[in-house]
Amino acid sequence: MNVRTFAPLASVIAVLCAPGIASADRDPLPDLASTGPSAQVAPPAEPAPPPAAADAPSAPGLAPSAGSWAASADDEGPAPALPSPPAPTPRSARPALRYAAPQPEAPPPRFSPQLPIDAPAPPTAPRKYDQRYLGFEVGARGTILADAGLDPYAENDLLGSLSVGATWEPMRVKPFYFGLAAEYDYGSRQARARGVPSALVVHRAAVGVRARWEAASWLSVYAKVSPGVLALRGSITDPALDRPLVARPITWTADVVGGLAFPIVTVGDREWPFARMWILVEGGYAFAGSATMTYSPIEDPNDARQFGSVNLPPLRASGVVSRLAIAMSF
Amino acid sequence: MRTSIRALFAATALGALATSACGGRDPVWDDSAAGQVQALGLEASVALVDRGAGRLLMLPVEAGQKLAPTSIPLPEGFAKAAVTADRKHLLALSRGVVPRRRAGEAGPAAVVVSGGPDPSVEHTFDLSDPLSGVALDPESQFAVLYPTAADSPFLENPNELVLLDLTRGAASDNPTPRTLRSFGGTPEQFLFTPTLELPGGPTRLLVVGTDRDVSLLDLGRLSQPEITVRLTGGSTSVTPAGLVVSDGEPGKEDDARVAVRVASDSNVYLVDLLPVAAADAAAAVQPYRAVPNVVFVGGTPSDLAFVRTDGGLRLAAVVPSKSALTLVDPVTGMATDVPLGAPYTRISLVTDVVGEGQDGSDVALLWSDQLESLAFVALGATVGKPYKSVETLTLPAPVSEVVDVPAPNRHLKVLGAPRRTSFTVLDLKARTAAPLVASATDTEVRVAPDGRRSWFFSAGYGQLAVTDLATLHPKNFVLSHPITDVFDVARRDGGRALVALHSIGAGSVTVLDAQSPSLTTAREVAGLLQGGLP
Repeated sequence: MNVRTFAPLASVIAVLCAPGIASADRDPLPDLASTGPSAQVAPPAEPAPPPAAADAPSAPGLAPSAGSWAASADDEGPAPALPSPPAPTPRSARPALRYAAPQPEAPPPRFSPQLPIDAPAPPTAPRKYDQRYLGFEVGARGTILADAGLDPYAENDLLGSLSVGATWEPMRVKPFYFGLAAEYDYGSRQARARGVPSALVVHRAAVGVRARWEAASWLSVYAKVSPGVLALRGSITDPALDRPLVARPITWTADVVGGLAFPIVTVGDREWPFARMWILVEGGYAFAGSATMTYSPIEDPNDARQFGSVNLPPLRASGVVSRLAIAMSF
Repeated sequence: MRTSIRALFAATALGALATSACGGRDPVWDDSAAGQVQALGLEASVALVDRGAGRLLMLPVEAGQKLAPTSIPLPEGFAKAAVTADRKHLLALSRGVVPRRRAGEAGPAAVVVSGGPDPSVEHTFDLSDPLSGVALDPESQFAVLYPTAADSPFLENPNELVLLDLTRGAASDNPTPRTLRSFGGTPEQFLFTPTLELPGGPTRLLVVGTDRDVSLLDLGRLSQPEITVRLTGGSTSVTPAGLVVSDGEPGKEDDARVAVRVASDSNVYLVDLLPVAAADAAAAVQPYRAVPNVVFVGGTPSDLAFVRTDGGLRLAAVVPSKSALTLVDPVTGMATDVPLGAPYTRISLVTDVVGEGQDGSDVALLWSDQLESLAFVALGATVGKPYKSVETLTLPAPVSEVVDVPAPNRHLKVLGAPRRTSFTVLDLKARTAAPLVASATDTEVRVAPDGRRSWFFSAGYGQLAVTDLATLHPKNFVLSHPITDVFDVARRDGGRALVALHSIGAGSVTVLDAQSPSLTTAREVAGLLQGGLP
């Protein structure tokens, strides 16, 4: 973990939070120069490596040794009063409070506003900034519909769809993430049914639950169950009528899928990215209710004729489903 | 990243595999339905023979002119469909899978479908050979199947017939294959007789005319051999042009007769069905014997009928070359001519409509497609002053078609002109002829089975007209599409509906309330042939 990468951001935060610059609704940061660790903490017993912040321009009045402390990326609210630096529990009879110089690979200490200044909290690992646990997806979805109900509209069993979605993972037990997934798919097929042009448009909207396991830095595995609604719109352009015959059934659907997510682009720091782009590859099975395809002409208030309806084969949009998508997570 | 690319490649390959594994659709959807549909009208539904989909699409009609389509699978290798005379059944013939290499493949079959408001398959008969020729019993009990050139097997016996009793299911004696004893001829005409009083009891006969002989099959005793009567000697062949039968006098078993008219021949062949002599009874194949006679009528007859005259039973032969109706005494062979004054060509008995004469004689109606008149011949005045028996009625146009009207208007006949640009509604009782003029040629007429109205349309046009046969008031409609045929059928709710078929798109019909037709209550249905498929 390279804390040096946070030095510029820390500097900016320090500048913004400095007296006279911080906005009125923020709590002013204490003057680290006067209240910094050097004033409260004993100097290190052993020579520490050069502070990483030394390589970056420091904010005015910011002690170099304290730069990494103030650089926590999770500090999103008003800057709290600086607590005392963490003090590891001594096993020997050394002084109770010692300054622990930041180590290049050690997690940076974290401030806790709840802790009193005179009761420094132990250092904890920072949360990764790569997850605000929101994701947005766009891709292509293919469903193999072996049901005979698709035959009037397609010459094979594949229904391709444009797929968009969003995910939110509020529950996290690393490396597992749990959340919701919302999806909308738009697919269509068209063909000639017994010599007459026919078309089918499929709208699918679903909200489900998703569980993700971050198996490795380059791979996440997830499973998803997405119940939803399937709105079909079939049309037949029969020359016997001046307008198409249409059928508009609605039925239920539920996807049970598993997927792999491959991060391909990182925006921001590699370890603490602002956003990541993923490729999602998923497959599973889509369950759906049977939709009755009853066709009748579109209503025309200017046409006094009465029309009968025709039942084409019912369509059950169940089948093996796969999806290839690009996702952006924040 | 390399691992990610590999995984992505694998996923893409799996997707491509899945895509390639997608199956095609049922070929029925690739079949263009237009122009392949044969329509048949039954008692309470219209049957569309959808060969592309291998089904009968039955169209019963509910209240409000709503169709309730029902698909009935056709047997493999559909060949022909026909409707019985009472319109209660449809008979579909199939050749099966040709060549048939597996035991599970369908063989030739005949399927009987009910024509009521809830169509269904009533009987299925397996046939040993593909047969696509069919002749139906006017009493709707029997069907005879015979080979045609379209069946084209490697070897066939043209004299092998299959008899089906449509009123019962498959059994060891149903269907019944029969091979006619032949003198070199092949079947050309079939006649199902009414019940005849014959020696041995009342029975019905199937009379089969070939190009040189006549065979008589006893439909009541199919296990008995048939009787074949040679019409010619040597290798001379004739072309049967018409068969008529008479039961003779009521209560007599020895006077039933069959008359055969042949093309381009002034002779009429009379076959008397007489009792078998007691001495020959043991060797006889039937309790009656057929005795042929040849009667000269003075010219080539164009039509025949057995009639009752004031002189007894006669064979009436219409001889256009003599402009006469020749009456032949079947017992003596004596012929008497009734001058008609015009070369009429067709004869039909209308006694049951206009009533018989005081002596029980018949009244015959004669007409021709060349004459603008028709003649009523009262056969009770044929002896002595036969010229007084003919009453002529002038028509607006010659008659090419005579359509009977069922009860309660059996006294009416609808006569069509040759080019079918006009029609005449003939009242047999009043002896009047009311013209109906159409604006289009080739106008078709369909008389409703309930006998109350007749429908007129011209194929390829959207015009439709209905005439109330009680008032002869025509009512015209213009439908949305050209009409190919119309059928007046019973509705499920007890009313009647007219189903007009259109040859546009994937099956289109317009359904009207037949008893009170109006476009405001009509209902159009499109895409019918796409519906009801599995």
